[in-house]
This record gives sequence, C-alpha cells and structure tokens, in this order.
Amino acid sequence: MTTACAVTLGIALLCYFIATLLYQGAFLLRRNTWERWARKVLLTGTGVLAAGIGMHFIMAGLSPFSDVLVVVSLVVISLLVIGLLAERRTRVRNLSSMLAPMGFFGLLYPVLLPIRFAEAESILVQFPLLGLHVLVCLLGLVGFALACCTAVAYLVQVQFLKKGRLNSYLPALDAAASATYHFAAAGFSLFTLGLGMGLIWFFGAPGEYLGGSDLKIWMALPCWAVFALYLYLRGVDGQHGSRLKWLVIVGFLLSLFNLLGVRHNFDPNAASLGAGQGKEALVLLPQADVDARMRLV
Amino acid sequence: MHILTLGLNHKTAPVEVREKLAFLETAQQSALEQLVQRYGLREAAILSTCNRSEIYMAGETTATVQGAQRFLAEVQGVDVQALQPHFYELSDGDVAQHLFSVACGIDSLVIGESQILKQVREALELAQASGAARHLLNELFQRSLRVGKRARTETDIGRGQLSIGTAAVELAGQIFDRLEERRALLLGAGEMGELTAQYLVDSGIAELWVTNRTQARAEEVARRFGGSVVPFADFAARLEEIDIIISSTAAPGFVLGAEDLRQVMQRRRGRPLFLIDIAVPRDIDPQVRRLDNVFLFDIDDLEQVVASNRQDREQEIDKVRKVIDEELRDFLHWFKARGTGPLVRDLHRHAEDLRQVELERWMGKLEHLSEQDRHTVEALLQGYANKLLHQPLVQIRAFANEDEGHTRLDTVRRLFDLDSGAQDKKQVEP
Repeated sequence: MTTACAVTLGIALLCYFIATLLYQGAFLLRRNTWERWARKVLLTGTGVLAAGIGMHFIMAGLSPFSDVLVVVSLVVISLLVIGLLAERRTRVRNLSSMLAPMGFFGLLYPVLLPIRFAEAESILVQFPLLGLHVLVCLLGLVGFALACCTAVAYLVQVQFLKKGRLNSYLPALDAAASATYHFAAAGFSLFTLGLGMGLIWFFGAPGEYLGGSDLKIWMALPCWAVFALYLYLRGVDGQHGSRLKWLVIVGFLLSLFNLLGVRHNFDPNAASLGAGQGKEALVLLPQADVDARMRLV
Repeated sequence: MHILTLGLNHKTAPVEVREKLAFLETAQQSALEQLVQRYGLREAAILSTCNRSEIYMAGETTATVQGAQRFLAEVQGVDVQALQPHFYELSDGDVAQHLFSVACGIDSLVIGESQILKQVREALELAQASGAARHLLNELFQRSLRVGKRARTETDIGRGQLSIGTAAVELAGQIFDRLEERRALLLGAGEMGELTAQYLVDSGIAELWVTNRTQARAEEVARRFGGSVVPFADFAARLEEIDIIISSTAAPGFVLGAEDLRQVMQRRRGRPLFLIDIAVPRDIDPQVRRLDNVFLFDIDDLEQVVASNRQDREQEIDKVRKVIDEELRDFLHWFKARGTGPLVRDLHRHAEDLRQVELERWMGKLEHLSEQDRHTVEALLQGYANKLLHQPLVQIRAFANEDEGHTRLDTVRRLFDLDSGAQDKKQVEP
C-alpha cells in the first residue's frame, strides 16, 4: 500500500466515523442539520478514499488486487456510491445512515485484523477470469450489504409501528421491502455469476486445487442458498413480512463471514505441493490447510 | 431611519377586532400608495391574513407610527384609541425578530403552517409593485423569507400539526410508500371514522370501500367520498384485497378477531395491513398486534402519536429560534452598518457646502491674491475640513458595530443638522 493510499484511508475512516456519529445523533436527537452534515462528511470520505485508490492505481502503478485494503476500499466505495444513488433516486430515505457504519467497520476490519493476501496480485493478474470472479463476487456482496441495510431499516420501522410510534426518519415499510428485494436480486445474480466464473476457472486451472477443505468454498454455498430461498419466497411464492428480512440478514452475515472470517492465502510455495501431480500448481487455500499440508510434506 | 411595525394578531385581538382591520387583497395596493404619499411613510408593507394585520414601515419613529395610525383612522375607519390595547408597536431589531418568527410559522395559530411564508412573499411583492417597499423593507422581507425557508428545511417545524385524522394518514405513509396504490375500507360510519377516511381520500388513496350494517347509510357515505359499497355480510371475505381498515362501528364487541385476521394475513401472503380502530368500545381484537405485518392503532395510540408530535414541535420551536437568532444578528449588523455610508457622504457634502459658502463670502475681500494664493486658501480650507471631520468619521464607523449604533448615528445627523440641509436641497432642486 502506498503512503498516499494509507493517508487517504485514514481520512476516510475518520470521515465515516464522524458520519456514523452524526447519523446516530440525527436519528436519536432528531436533528435534521446533523443528517445533512453526515451525508456531506460521508461523501467527502468516499471522495478522499476514491482519490487514494486512484493514486494507488495511477501513481504507484499497482493493480486493484495488490492489497486487501484496496480491495475492501473498492467494495466500500461501490457500496456507498450505489447506496447514496439509491437513496437519492428512490424513496428509501436515510439509507446512508446505515451505510456509514458499514463503511467504517468494513474499512476498520482489515486495518485491525490484516488478512494475508500475499502474492494475490500476480495470480489474479495472471488469470483474468479469477480476477473477474473475485470482482463480480465482491459486487454481489455489495448488493447483499445494501439488501441487509434496507432489511434492518424495515425491521426497525416495524418495531416503531408496533409500539405505536411515528418515525419518519426511516423509509416506509413497502419501500424498504421493495429495495431489499431488488438489492438482494441484483446481489444474488452477481454472486451466482461470480461463483460460475470461479468454477470455470477452477476446472480449467493449471495444477491441482488443494482446497477441498476450503471453508471459503463451503461457506459460499449456504450464503447462495439462503438468498436463493429468500428470492424464491419473495419473488415466486409472493411472501412478505419480517421473517424474510431476517433471512436476508443471515445471508449477508454468511457472505461477510465468507469474505472476512476465512483466511485467504495465495500460497507461493504451493507449486512444490502441486508439482508432484505433474501440473504447475496454483493454490488458493486457507492458511490452516497450508500449514497442515506443509507438515505432511 | 427606523423600521417599525404597528399591528395586531390572534394573540392580542379577538376575531371581531381583527376583522375590522383586515385589508382586502384588492385594496392593499391603494392603501400602500396612500401610506407613502399621504401619510409620510418612506416605505410600507402590509401583511394581512386571517390571524394578523400588520403594517411594516420605514421612517422616523414618531411621525411614522402617527401616520399609520391616522391612516387606520381615516381610511380604514378604525377607532385606533379604542383598539389601542390590542395593538403592538415594534421597532428595528424587534420588528426583524417578529417578522422572522412570523415567516417561520412559530407566531401562527397552527405552529409551523406553511401558508404564512407565501403570504409574506405576497406582501413583499405587492409592496414592491406599488413602489412602497424600497431598500430597507425589501431587505427585511427578503431575509424573512430566507429564514422561513431555512426553518422549514433545517428543522421539522413545517411537518404540520397532527390531528387524529392526519396522524392516521402519516402512519399509513410509514407503512405504504404510495397511498395512491392502496385500497381502504371504512367499516361503520362514525363521525371520526369518516373524518379519517376524508383525510385518506384527500391524500390520494386509490379506492375507498364503505361497509355498514345499514346499506343506505353506507351508500350515502360512499357517494360523498366517491367510493363503493361492500355489503356488510361480505366484507370479511374481501379483507385480503384491502390494505387499510378504518373501523368505527357502534358494535358492543369485536367485529374483527385475531383468528380472522390471521387467516386474512395468510391469504395476503404477509402483505402489511394497517388497522385504525377509532371505535369505543373497540372493534378490533388487540391480540392482532401479535400478527406479523399487522399494525393496529386504536384511539389511544393515535392520541399518543398526536401528543408526541406536539412535544416534538415544541422542541422544534427552540431550534427555529436558533435559526432566527443567527439571521437576526446578521440582519442587525447590516442594518446598523447601512446608515454609515449616507451619513459619511452627507457630512462630506456638508463640509464642502460650508467651504463654498465661506469662499464666496471672502473672495471679494481677497481679490488682490494671485491665482496660486487663492488655490492655497482653498486647499487650506479643504484640509481644515478634512482634519475636523477625521475623528467624527472614525467614531461613526465604530458606532455602526454598536448595539445602539443607529441612535448615535441619528445624533450625529442632528448635531450637524444634516437632514434639514438635505431637505432644503431637495426643495431647491427642480
């Protein structure tokens, strides 16, 4: 990561933190002015982050996959830009109040708990389909994140209404429900496409893929299945209600765990592991797997 | 010059007094022209609504207010002395603060109502059109419009005061994004239920169905709202087609039970259902609250929403006052500084006039002087005047930033007798 990128990341983190506080203040203390300031701060943070990534690409000549922070930054930028556009174009008001903390924690996670992403760049650049697979899956995740935000807004609004309270800060129930469905459908389409690309690459990849026990692969399936179930129940069976929104939240948490909870390791030593199989090896496997196999070797 | 207000409003005068002073819209332009031309006001604007009649003026304090009072007595036929207890007279900063509060809607009968902002704008346009609003009132009214807009965008003061009926519509808006795509059922025909239905119809609901044990009564209500009638025996079977139910029957027990609605919700595939139970005793079993996506509000719930809204709005008034204070500081700074430019100009002109007079008086005795010496004398007088004025001018600029600066500026004017000089000059000019 370049120094410029690190500085802009710091500024963006600060902006997202301030925006989160302002949004919470606006919600709890009902201060409209704070909400407007929060949106401005959020936009500023996103602009600064995008500028940092731009410098990273152009000035340092590095690829988007050269650092996990850059990848996460790209996801956060996409999330905020799409979310803010959706907030402006649709009636899902104050969606950004949930995106701000999501952006903050999304950026904070790889800073505090660095995920190993060593050698990823060379592999992803060497195999564009794999790079595209990662990119499309991440965009799918953005769709899931937005669906999760609107589902949470829906559930909070339900609680307010059940308690007999009027809350005009949050979107109307059916606006939130409709947005949840559309975001989830878009995310699911991209995620499915990304998984398909991953599979194509997997079968055509040189060397032996040693990730049979790769948690990342297995965690993708329940995430996909949960969203498939939600879309079926909502889109085909025509069901509505709070339980479906919980399904979306569970699906998003699974996808989040899949991205951040599993250690990714693009292992440079794997060539020696695959070499015995008569193929030039390329592996993408959790650190635990690497360690276990190294012990076996 | 001062800005002044003479007026009365719903807080100071009952309707029978207010109506005597109401200015008809068609008569306002001629009233403004008369105020300026016949009653000696330099600038004037009239803000006349059903809750207030106010004359905003610019001029010298005593003469201006007296002029407005004479106008009310002679033209409007109002016994000003008899109505004196109902009037308020404000000047300068108090006028600005008052008009800003009026424009924000916190001086209105219905706090936060937006109609007043339109009325303030119309008052300004009318005064501009009749040439009665010039520099001072134009600035004051423009700023009040800006404050009014700020108050409505930066606070929730403009969200409108809720009644039971409007609270129901607001709640419906929290459940359904577009009421124009929703169908409502009016169950029974109680007065409050009809009122709520009216609000829903006004907010553009797609369709209103009416059902009542008495078919004729249902038909009458449906005709009034442009809705259709559902026979009372059939309404339960058609509940899955309805999104909002307003219930206000006189039935002694529950008309809709939890089990009925559970089945309805199954058939609706969980689509939200909004129930407004205004009947006492209640028509809908409160147990239905446990059902997912069923939102029941009885009369107590609605009153709680209204009360909560009222509290929120009282909090909003404090926020609006902060906006007003900000803008008022800004306006007063402008107002105080406004007098310095003309005053400095008048002082220089006064000094120049005196110099010319003295030169003319003495030049006959100084004819023996050469041209160069004469220029020296002129320069000497000029330098003397400049030096004499230097310290007063410094002080005048300092006065502009003081709280009572305009009073001091007036004193300076009086000391040098600038106004009479200006008037004399005006009279001399063709």
